[in-house]
Parts: sequence; structure tokens; C-alpha cells
Amino acid sequence: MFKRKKQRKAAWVFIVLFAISIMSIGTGWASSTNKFVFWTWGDWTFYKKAFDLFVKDYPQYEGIEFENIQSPDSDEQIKKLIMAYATGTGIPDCIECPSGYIPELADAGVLLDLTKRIQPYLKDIPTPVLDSVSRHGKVWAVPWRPNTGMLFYRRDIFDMAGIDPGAIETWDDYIAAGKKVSRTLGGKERFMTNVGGTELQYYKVEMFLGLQDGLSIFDPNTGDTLIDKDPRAIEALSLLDKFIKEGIAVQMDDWSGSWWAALKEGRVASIVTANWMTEIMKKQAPETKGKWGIMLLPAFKKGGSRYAFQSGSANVAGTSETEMPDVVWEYMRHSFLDIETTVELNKTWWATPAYLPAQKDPFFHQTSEFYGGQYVRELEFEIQENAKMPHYTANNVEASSYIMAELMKAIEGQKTVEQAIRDAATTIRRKIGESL
Amino acid sequence: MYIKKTRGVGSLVKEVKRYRNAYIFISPFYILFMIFGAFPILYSFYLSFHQWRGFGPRDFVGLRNYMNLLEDELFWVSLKNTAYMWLGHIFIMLLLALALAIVLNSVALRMKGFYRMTFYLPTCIAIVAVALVFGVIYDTEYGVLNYVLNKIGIFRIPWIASSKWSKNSIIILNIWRVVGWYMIILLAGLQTINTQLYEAAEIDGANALQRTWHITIPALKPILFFCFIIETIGSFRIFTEPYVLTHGGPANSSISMTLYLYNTAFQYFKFGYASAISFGLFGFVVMASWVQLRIWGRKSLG
Repeated sequence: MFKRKKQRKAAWVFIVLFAISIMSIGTGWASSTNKFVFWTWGDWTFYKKAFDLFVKDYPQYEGIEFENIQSPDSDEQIKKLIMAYATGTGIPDCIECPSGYIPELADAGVLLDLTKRIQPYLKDIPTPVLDSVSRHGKVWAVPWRPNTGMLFYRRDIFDMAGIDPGAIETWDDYIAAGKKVSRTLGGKERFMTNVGGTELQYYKVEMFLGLQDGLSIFDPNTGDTLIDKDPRAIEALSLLDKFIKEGIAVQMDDWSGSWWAALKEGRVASIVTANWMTEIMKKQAPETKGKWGIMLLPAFKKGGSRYAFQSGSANVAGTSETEMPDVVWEYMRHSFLDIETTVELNKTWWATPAYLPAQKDPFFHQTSEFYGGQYVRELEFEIQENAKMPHYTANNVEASSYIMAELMKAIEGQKTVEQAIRDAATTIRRKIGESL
Repeated sequence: MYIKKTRGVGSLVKEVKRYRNAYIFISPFYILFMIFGAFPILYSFYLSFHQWRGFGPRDFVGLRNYMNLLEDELFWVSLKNTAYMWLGHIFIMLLLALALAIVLNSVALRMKGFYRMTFYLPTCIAIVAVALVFGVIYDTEYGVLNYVLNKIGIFRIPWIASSKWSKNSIIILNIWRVVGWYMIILLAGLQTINTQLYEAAEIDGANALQRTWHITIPALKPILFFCFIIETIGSFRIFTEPYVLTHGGPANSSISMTLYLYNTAFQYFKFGYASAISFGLFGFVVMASWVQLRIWGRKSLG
């Protein structure tokens, strides 16, 4: 009898301990009102610095602690956000949010509606950039760096090959220059550019489409895919295949170790990329200082557009579940819609602003030493002003994966590029349908 | 504490009441299993009849997800890839594991511990790390493998940058990674075989090959069957290798069923359809196991 009582007591102690340990799992991640929880995949110290400047100017928020939760990339962050909303725990106050995800997140009620608060600043943001953070007439994020498509080229390699970058106006000029690079500097060892090896990068194709009057995968009016209907889209989608068939590109995945090695050694003479690369290149390849030049992307036809956005812009957004919407808004406004803070942040990071009054500051009209004394930011402003924003829908990510897989088959010679585009369009219509 | 066998619900309840303290102590496993094992499976089954993007309401679509699955070309491509990677490695790997186990079991071999550890070591390394390192080795332009091949006059091979090679590259990685694990299991099996059988066979004039064929393999049949089943289940769930090494490419040439499932759920946010894929995968694993059971015979289970 005595033994049984002892056992029962031990069982109860066990139940209590188990319950406590289970409960502690649930509460470990929840945000508190004294913490400003920020989610990013980029350089979190940039947002932390912005928060420090904000608290300095708003002493009433001094007790709030900035907490960063880092993700390796934007896709991973969105996955985490879905999990947080599905479980109702660990939802952040503020997030870095790519334009491509805004339609989906806005429709799902995940984002904080900024429409009223941002009203006085609407005239100070370039219209296409504002469009990329709007959905159904409402504004869902504060854009801070429009992503502008650019061509980075190695000045030394171009000089050696006798190429004048100013003479490259169209993609045909670019291909001709690429052939000259291979011809003069050593056959299969030096290439004009790279195309993915294991997977193709959609962000390049997105810019090619953008050059064609801001086209995207889906027609903004009908929601149907236009990739096999619009001849301009077909021309844009065929370009990577053309690079390979003309022999000017090596197959090498962007961001791989061999890609960085090739860029540093000058085996790849130019890359189709965007303005965010300015900062990354400085950090990852400091030894190439002064060797890189930046120019507008070539056009498809002489006199055609050379302006394109890539993934809209880098934005910050509040979440609908934040317990401090006012703090979130004030932080975003102070950090990215304020001349002084914008300039201060740009002293350390390359984050050319969307905020038009800040663009007029002399700070943004200086030459860049790393890029051979070029006025790179002015080039960015020129693109911001002239490029057309593509149409983003909740299904662009899925649709782009079907396109890239088919284009890869064309590059491998399994089918023609025209057939690949037709097959991709068929898959998109069958698996996604219309997307607005 | 001994709990005697019970029959019927009433007597079961009685037993639970009687030994409730014992049941309380073993309950954490069942509670955690219910939360993290049973609930996700049941919820996933429920989701497979819905359309849900992770946020907002779930729309009931009946069997549409399963109907779409049958017509989904990419699903069949992923199944074909998975089957190719499974068949491409399982026999070679088991044969290699058996050969290594036999060699390591021989009396004549010295430094057995060293060899055992060397072959087993790849199993201890995280798959992500292995895949990343193999990515560097396989690199077309700067990879060690192509560097060596180039030195002996063989042209560069696009190990992971070509649809023809991508699956084979994953197969090579897989064999290297798991052969040590199965070698240890088979070695343990070999050590249970009565040595007198070999001595008797030797006296009867059987050579080494005959002894292996007529004694070792029949004696190891249940263990070989166990290895085959376990590796088959693992192969159908292959994810990390293609995810890290090839991202399922080029052109979906190395996409596995689980990678397709992952992309559908976490890249395209089609959780309902992804759940249907997971039950499709479950069906194929059950079918493959059943076929193996029929081929090897029930007695192989020992």
C-alpha cells in the first residue's frame, strides 16, 4: 500500500514536469511588447542601425529592444512566415518583404495596411515602385531600394579585347562583343557571361521581359500567360539560349564558388545583374576594385528600352498581428522616408533610395571609387525613372520554375526554344490557370 | 512490472486503471507521438482534399488533388527519377557492402578496426555537408574530379550540370555515403554464421566462391532483405542530396518525389496538393515493399 502511494506521488510529479516542459516549448518564441522583432534575409546590421537612429530621434521608444531573426533567403523567410501565421506563434512585427510576395501576403491579410499613414509621402515615391508595393488600391510596404537591372563588365577584359562598352546598345552588339572576347582572349577559357549550370536564374529572364515594355509572365488584364503569345516575350525568353548557342556564355551557377572565382579571375567578362550587386561585389571581391564598370542593359532593338526592374524593390512591411503598429510605421518612415537617415545609412551600405527628396541630396551624386570613378547611383536613378514595373501575382514563383525548366531543356538541345516556351505556357495554363 | 495479455475493451480499461502509474510513465512517448506523428499524418490526409495556400481559408475540393496527380507530368518525372536513383544504387551498393563485409570478416586481414571506421565514417557526416563537398568535387569548371580526369586525358564531364549525368552523380554520392552502414550490418550478420559450416564445406572440397554462394548468402538472406527494405524506403524519401547538389535540375532531371513535394508545399504554397503527393509517395513505398516481400518470400523476414 505504501509502495503504491509512493508510485502515485512520483507519477504526479512526472506529469507536472512533463506539462511544464511542453508548455515552455510553446512560449519560448513568442514576441513581447518590449521587443521589436524584425525578420530579414539580408544584412540585418543595416536594419539595426536604422533602428538605433530611430530610437535616438524618438527617445520615448528607448526601452524597446531590436531583435533580428535571420533567414538565408527571401523564400525561406516566407516559409517561416507561413508557419508562424499557421501556428499563431512567433509572428514578427516587421519584415523585409520582396515585391513579388506582396500580392500573396496582402491577399492573405498578413501585412499591415499603410495606405492612410503613407498618404503624405506618395508623391515622393516613383510611381512604378509604389505600384510594386500596392495591391487593390492599398499600400502594403515602404520601398527603400528599387532593384534596377544593370550590366556589370570587367573594364580590363573589355580593354584587352578592344571592346568599347559605349558601343554596345543592343543584345546583338553584346553577342558580337562576346565573340570578340572569346576570339581575342582565348577560346573556351574566357566568356562574355554565364548562364546557369544546374538551374537557370529567373531574375535574368525577368529583366529581359522587363526591357520589353515591362512584360511579365501573366497578362495584367486577362491573367492568362503571355509568354507564348507576345512575340516580345518569346524574344526575351530566347535570349539565354541564344547566349549558349552563340558560344558567348559558360554554364556556371550564379553564387557558386566557381562563379565567384571566374568573376575574380576575369574568366567571365560581364554579368547581367541588378544594383544590389554593387554592395555584394565590393564585399565579396574587394580585390577587383577599379576593374568593374556598370552600364545599362542592352536593348532588344536599336533605340529600344534599356531600363528594367528586377524583383521590384527591397521593401519593409509591418505584419497585421503586430502589437505596435505605430512604432512599426514610425520606424519605417524614419528609416526610409527621411533624407537625413537615408544619407546616414548609405554612408555604410549601398542602398540607393526610392525616396525622391533624398535622391536630390549631393551625397548621391558622387563618383564611386570601386567602380572606376563612375556615377553609378545616377545610373540607378535614370533606370528608376524610365523602367516599367512588371506585373506581380501570387503565382509568378511557380510559373517561373516551369519556364526555367523548359528553357534548360532547350539549352541542352532536347527541344527548340520555341517548343520549350510553348510547353511552359501549356504547363502554366494547366497547373495554374489565370493569375491576376 | 508485468502486464498480462488482455482481451476486450472492458478488460483493457480495467488493466489501464490497475496499472495507471506505469501507463503515466510511458505516456510521454504516446503524447508526443500523437502531437508530432499521428496528428500531422491525419491533418495531411485531411488537407489532401483541400486547396490551401498556408494562409486563409481551406477550400474543399474532394478528390481533385488526386485526379490532378495522375495527370501531373512532373509527378511522374519525379517518380521515374526516384525509381532510377533507387535501382541505380541499391544492387551495386548492397553488393559492395557485402564484399566489404566478407573481406573485413576474413581472419587474414589486419587492422580491421581501422578499415571498419574508414568505411563507416561517411555515414556519420551530415548529408548537407556531404552534398556541399560533392558539389565542389563535381564542379564542371573547377572541380577536383574533372581536374583529375583532365590530367589523364578525359574530357570535362558536366557531372551536375547535365540532365544525362545529374542522377548518376547523386547515385555515386549515395553509394559512397551508405555503403559503410550496410557493411556494418552485414558484418554483424556474418559473425553470427557458424564457422563449422565453412569448415565442413572446405573438407567437402568447396572453394571460396561456392562457400559464399551456398553458405554465406543463404544465411544472410533475412539481413539482406532487411537492408533492401530499409534502403528502398530511404531511397523513395531521398531529398537532401538533390536539394543541395542539383536543386532537382537541370530541367527537373534529378527532381525526386520528396523534393517535388517540398517545392509544391513551400515554394508554390499548394499545401493541399503537396499532401496528395505525400500520400502518392506513401502508396508507392507500400507497393514497392509489398513487391519485394513477394519476391524475397515471407520466410526471409526470419
